[in-house]
Amino acid sequence: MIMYQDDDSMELFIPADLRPEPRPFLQTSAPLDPDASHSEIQRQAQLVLEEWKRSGLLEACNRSLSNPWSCVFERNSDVEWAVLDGDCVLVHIETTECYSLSSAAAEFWRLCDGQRSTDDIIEELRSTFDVSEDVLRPDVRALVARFLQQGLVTERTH
Amino acid sequence: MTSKGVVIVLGPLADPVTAYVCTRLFARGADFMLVDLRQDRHLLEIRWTAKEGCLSGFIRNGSRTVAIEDVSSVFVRQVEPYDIVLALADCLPVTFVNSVPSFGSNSSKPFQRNAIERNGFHVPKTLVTNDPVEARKFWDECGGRVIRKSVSDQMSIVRGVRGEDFERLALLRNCPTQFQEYIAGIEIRVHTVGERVFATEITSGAMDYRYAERERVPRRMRAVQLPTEVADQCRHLASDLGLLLSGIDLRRDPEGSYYCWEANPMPGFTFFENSTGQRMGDAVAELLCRV
Repeated sequence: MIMYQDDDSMELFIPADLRPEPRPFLQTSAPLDPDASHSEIQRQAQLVLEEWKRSGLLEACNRSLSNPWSCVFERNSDVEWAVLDGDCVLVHIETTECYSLSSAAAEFWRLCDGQRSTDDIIEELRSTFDVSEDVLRPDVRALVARFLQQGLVTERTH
Repeated sequence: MTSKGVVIVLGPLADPVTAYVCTRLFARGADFMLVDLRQDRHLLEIRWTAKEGCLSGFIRNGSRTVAIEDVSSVFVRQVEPYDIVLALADCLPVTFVNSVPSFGSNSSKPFQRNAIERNGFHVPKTLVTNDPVEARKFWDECGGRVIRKSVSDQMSIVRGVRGEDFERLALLRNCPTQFQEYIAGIEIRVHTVGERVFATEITSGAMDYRYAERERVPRRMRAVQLPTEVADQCRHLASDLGLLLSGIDLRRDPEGSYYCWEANPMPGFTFFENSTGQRMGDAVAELLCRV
């Protein structure tokens, strides 16, 4: 029988960057008070889920794009879209998934024309929706990540 | 039929899957006790005795006490497998998602491979070794189309073995690694919840779709129906491993054959539900509340 030392510093064939920490939240979160009420548990559970969705999207965005603000995105040609009764509806032909966009997301989608950078689009959205850049940027970042994840847009590289 | 008992949820609320299961239990109006085993152990008291085949005792968490006979089911997530609370849960004649022996199966991929083959799936050619020469020979036999992953439940990002990895092969002496023949095809993640089967097809150019962003390639997920025979194989595999909840990794090759890689006993199904809308959290809550 071969014994292996339990030594974190030992170099392995599978390098460290391909062995991610599986439970990072355990290091950063305190255990719940055992006497927390059900409504408090429910409130905290919702916060965890919102944060999880938000950070997942941001992480996806951060990893795939070094600087999303200067990137130029174009709509995937496999996505058909139309404005029906004021709602922007997208259908991904390949996956058959349908999406309904909010008015701001729809405007972002429309402006992803393969010409404008994200910064350009943010400028246009600011004037259209009268919203501050501080508020807009996190939302746009999350939207870019979701669009990329769902294959709705692609980054134009040249 | 819905149970009137108490569901014991063992896990940290900071874990999104645990949090989601809690919200689905709320939605069903289920009574549950959440126990984060990282808490101050003085606030948790457990007592049980066995007499003539019957268990009696209680779990006290903070100021709430639940008699053992009132426990209807147990859900466990992200806890150490040798915890005394799990030892108690393993004794209880209740639904346990998932019991310690069953989730232990994932700590040995070769063990799981035998179960996978036994349940009728194709399995890729596999080598587990700490011998660099054998690993290189396997790579040649597979025409250089080989992936590598950890042998145990240590999380690792799947990657192909390329020429530039050869100089690292000597490091196999520090820890055996699993090598498998690369099978081209479409990834399918199947979640079994009791008898229910939820399949998600993943289209991605990445070797490991979970980390598609790292390779800057898109990932698309959609709910699909499996052929009846394959769905049954998934149910049987989960049952064989004692898993009431499982995340089974399949790949359908261009000829339509289904290969199986492994069955995850603590699947992060929220990741898939979030993309496909399949109501797996509700299915888990329903399973926990069923008499």
